[in-house]
Amino acid sequence: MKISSWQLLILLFLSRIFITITYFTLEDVSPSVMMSTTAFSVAADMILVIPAIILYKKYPNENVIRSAFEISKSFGIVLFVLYFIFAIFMIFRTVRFFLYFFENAFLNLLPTLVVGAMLIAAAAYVGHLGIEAAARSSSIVFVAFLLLIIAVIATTAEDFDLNNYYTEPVGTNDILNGVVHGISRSSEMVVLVLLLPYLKNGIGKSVYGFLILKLLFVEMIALLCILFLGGYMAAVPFPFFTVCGFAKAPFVERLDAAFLVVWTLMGVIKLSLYTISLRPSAVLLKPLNNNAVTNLVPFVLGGVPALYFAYKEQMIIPLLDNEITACAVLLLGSLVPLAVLILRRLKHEKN
Amino acid sequence: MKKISIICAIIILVSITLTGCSGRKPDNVGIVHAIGIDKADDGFELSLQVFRVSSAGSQTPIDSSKTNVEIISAKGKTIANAVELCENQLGKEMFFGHNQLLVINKKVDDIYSCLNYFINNDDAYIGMIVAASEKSSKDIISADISSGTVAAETMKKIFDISKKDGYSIDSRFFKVVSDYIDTDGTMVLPLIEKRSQAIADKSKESGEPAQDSLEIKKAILVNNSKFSKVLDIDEVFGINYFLGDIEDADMTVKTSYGTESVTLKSIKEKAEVSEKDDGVKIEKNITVGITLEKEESKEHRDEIKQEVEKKVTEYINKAVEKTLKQDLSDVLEITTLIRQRDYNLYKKLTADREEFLKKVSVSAKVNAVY
Repeated sequence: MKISSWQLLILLFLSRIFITITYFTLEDVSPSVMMSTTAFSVAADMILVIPAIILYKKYPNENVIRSAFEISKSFGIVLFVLYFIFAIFMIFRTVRFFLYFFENAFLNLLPTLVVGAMLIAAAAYVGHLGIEAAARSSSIVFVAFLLLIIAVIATTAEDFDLNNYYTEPVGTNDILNGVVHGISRSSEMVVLVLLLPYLKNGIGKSVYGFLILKLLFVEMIALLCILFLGGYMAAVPFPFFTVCGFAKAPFVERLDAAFLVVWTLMGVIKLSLYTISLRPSAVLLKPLNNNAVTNLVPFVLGGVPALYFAYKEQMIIPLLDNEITACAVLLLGSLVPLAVLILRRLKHEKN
Repeated sequence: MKKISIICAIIILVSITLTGCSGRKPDNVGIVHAIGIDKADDGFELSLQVFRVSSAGSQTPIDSSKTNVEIISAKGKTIANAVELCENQLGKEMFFGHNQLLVINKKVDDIYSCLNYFINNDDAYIGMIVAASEKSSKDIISADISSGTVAAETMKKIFDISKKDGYSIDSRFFKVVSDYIDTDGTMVLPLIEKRSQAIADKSKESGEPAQDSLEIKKAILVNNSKFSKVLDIDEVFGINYFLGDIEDADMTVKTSYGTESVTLKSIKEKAEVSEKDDGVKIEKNITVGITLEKEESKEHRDEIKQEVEKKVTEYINKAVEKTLKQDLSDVLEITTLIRQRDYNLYKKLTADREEFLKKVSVSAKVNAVY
């Protein structure tokens, strides 16, 4: 099963924008610093993604783990284990953030555990259906997201205050912090190097299209919140959700209800991508050459602890730390593919 | 198998997105429409106007001829404490997502602690109007306004129209909190008063029962989280003209042709910020649009224009004098203006807010156009 470059672009985009609409804040930085460091972080992504593009161009039917198997079986197994752990870690992180948001932003009419269990079940089911089902669903969710954004902008635009945006000189530390923060929110870079065998063609279009779309929408959402909320943005943890809560449309009293639908579907797609991306390489390992095992084990190992900590109302901050995630993304999304490319070339030359 | 899979997917996805439609009925949640906060001996007295599912005397659950609300109140050391006591009284969890109005009594000492409860309550509607009252705020939210489904909706409409006409300041919750954060502790709130007599007199003639009405013709400054000076209507107009917030205000001007009534609207404002000695000078060019009731001669129009410019300038000067010079309150958004124009100047000057505001000089040039 293959997907088009447009479908891959949308999958990666929804996975990334889920994080932006869930949680971002202006606690310590000014609007201009936040917006300019986002641009720097996307510029860094454009460089970090180069090994993935070269990998696809040289070996279009392989991902980073399959390529590692071509170098040596043990190297392939080591990488599979690393990416498998990463998937578990990201499922844990995503489910915990989802439930944190759910606990804090909504009137708790349903037990958090039930919501979390349903989320995991839905994501596991989409993961079971595979890349094609996720890609088709993502197109619908993307349209719903666009409609939500248009409705929010249309209903809040008259309250935009240009005085809320101001420019502050951006220092080197701001840029570095912004880039680390940006990379920590880019687990799609890792998913991408695993999803490569699913892509029909047009890797450049997918990857750079995704990064441009991400830049555009992250900046747009940030600007929308800054212009509308001003100083209030520093006081709330979920600014975009807060804006949606204010926005009224003729068809709905408050747009946070529409937000909930779109956001939940994005979460399901994001979670399902972590197991779908493992499948092309899992077939190389006999014990894991079973769809159900590859699909369910990461959800059990990542999702159940997230439910437990949500039940205990603990955030497990070290595991959610930005630096740890940034290092993992940098390593698995860029450095490992680069190492695989170099080792494979050396092996080729040796032969 | 495929059909079963699709059905399973639909059930799971739909059930996730319908999390608001679980077993809780509206009569198990207290839907708050207006909040009043008064000072109590040891903390606050909180009064809530809560939606009543079945209003007295009505055949249907919602009767637009009845108030459809009940008032409950409790005293607590903190707002959270008082909310809990109200919940205990009513046996319902309070939901602030539909709240339209928050009235704080002038005697309350710490305004921000009142607002902070609602900042931290993610259900609270950020578009609710925040107002102050000189008398009991419980009395304000209990006002017998029977038009509309619930009284608070009518109260909100009173604010909306007053704001459009320039009588009230834009005091939506997120705006006042934003101003408070940006200006390091200042904001301005409309001062609301309850009137019964005028309507009661009218009702004697018509034989209808007496009703209350609400009036907004003053405002009050908040400085360092405490209520400060009261602004009269001219000063409120001055703030609104300075900030370009006038949508449809009436003005009466005297000319050699007689007394004329005109309608004014803010069109644009342009500000120049420059450093002056060790302070800062702000020159604001304000353009207001004039609409006449009927066609007038050019000379008459020129005279009206001059009178409008003179009167708007007077309003602004009064507002600058009272808010900036006398109270050192930054409700004219001086800090955010300087921050936007010159960040380095803003950083240099705003370390000590009061010292900075003493050194600010503001002038306004009003240009009226037809």
